[in-house]
Amino acid sequence: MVSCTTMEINTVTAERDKEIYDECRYNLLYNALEGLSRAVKWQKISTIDDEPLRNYFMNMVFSAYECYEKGDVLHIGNLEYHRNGYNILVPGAVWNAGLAFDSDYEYSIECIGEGSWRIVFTMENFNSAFYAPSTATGDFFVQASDVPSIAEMEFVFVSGSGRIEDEMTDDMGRRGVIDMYIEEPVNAFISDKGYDYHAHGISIEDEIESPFFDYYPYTLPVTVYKGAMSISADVYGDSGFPGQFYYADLSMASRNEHIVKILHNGIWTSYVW
Amino acid sequence: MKRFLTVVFIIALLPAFSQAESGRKRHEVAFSYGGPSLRAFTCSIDPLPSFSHNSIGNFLDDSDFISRSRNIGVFSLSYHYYPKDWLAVGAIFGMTADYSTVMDANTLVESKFMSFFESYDLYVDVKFVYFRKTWIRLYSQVAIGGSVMCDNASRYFSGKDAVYGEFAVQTVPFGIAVGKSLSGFFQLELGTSVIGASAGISYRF
Repeated sequence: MVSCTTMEINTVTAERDKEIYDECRYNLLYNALEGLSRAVKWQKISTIDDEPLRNYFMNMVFSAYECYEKGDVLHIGNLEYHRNGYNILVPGAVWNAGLAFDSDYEYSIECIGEGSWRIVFTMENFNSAFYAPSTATGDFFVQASDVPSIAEMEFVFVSGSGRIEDEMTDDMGRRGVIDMYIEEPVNAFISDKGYDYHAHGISIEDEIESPFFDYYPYTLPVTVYKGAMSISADVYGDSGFPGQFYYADLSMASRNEHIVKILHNGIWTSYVW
Repeated sequence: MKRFLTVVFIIALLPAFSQAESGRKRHEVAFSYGGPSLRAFTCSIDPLPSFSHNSIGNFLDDSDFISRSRNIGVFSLSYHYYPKDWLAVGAIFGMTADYSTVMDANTLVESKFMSFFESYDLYVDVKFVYFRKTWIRLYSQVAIGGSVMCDNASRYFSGKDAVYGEFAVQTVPFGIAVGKSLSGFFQLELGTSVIGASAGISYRF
C-alpha cells in the first residue's frame, strides 16, 4: 500500500509573470494614456458645432469630472492642462499637464501629426503593486485608432518605452527596475469613465469618499489588446541577480478578452484574466 | 517464619501472573506503515511565498519557493503487553517527514529534495481484542501521547529554528490481524498522526 503523498506547486512563476506584466500595463500604459485620452476627447467634443450634441457628448464622457476652462488652463478632473494656446489635434501643438494636488507629476503631449502624439511623463507611481515608493517614466508614440467611438476612444501605442524604478532602496540596498518596450503596436483604451485616482492618492485605506470606490488600487481601467511588449527586470545593488526578460504577446487578446501569452525563461504560457 | 513463607508464596505465584489464563504469549512487537499523515505539508505549505511586495527589488530578488513536496507516510513501531487475551497495553512510536524541492522563480533551477518537516510521536495505548479465533483477531485501539515536530522549512526560508510539541491522539476503530505468533495486520486509523489506514507485521512471544 502506497501512502506517500505528493504536492506540486506550479502557479508561483505564473503569478510572478502576471504581476510584472500588470505593473507595466497599469502604471505605464494607463498613466501614458489617461492624460491623452481626456485631452483628445475633450478637444474633439469641443469642436462639435451642434450645441445640444456637443453638450450630450460632454455630459456622457465627462460627467464624472469637474470640467472647466480657466484662461489657458483646462481642468478635467484633477488633471490641469496648460494648452499654450494650442488645439491638441493640430500638429505642432504642445500641452503640459499637472495635477491639481501637490505631487511629482509631469506630463506632456505633443501633436506630431494628424492623429499622432508623443507622450512623455514622469510621475510618482501611485498605483503600484509594491509598497515602497517608485517612479514611473514613459516616452511613447501614440496614434488614434480608426474606432469611431468618443466615449471609449481607442488609441494605438505604436512605439516607445517606459520604466518603473524603486525610489528608495530597501534595507538590503537593492533597487528594482522594470523596463518595458513596445515591440508591436498595442491597442488601448480607457475602459470606463476613468478612475480619477490622482484625486485620492494611492492608499485603499484613505477614507475619502469617491464615486470610484469600487476601483481598487493596482487595477486601473485600461484595456489593451493586439501587439506585443517586452519587459526586462533587474535589481541594482545585487550583482548576483540574473536580469529577467519577459515577452508579452497580446495578439490573441480582444476588447473583451484579455488573453496574454508571456515568454519567460524560454517557456510560453497563456493567461486569461 | 511467617514473612519467609509469605515471600516464598508470592515468588511461587509469579509464574502464574506471567501466564495468560489460557497460557498464551503475552508480548507483542509490531511494525507498520500507513497514511496519509494529517501533518503532511503542514510546514511545507506555510512558507509558500507571497514574494513580498515591499519593493520591486524585494519582489524580484526573493525568488525561492517550494516547488514539490512529498510526504513519506507514517512509520510506526509498537510494543504491547497482554495481561488478558482481550486486552493489551503498550506504547507506539511513529514518525513522518516531508521532503521538498526549492525552485528559483527567476531561473527555474530546482534543488534536490530536502527534509522540510519531521514529526515524532510517542503514545501509550490500550488495545481491545473483541474477536478471537486461532488465526484471526479483530481489535480496536486508543492511544494518547505527544508529538515533537521540526519545522526545517522555517529554518531554510527565514533562518528560524522551529521545534515544537503537540498533544496527540490516535485511534484504531477497526483492525484485523491474521496469523498466530507471526501476524500480518491491517487497520483503519483516525487521529493526529494518520487519517487513513496502515498495515504491518507483528510478532508475539
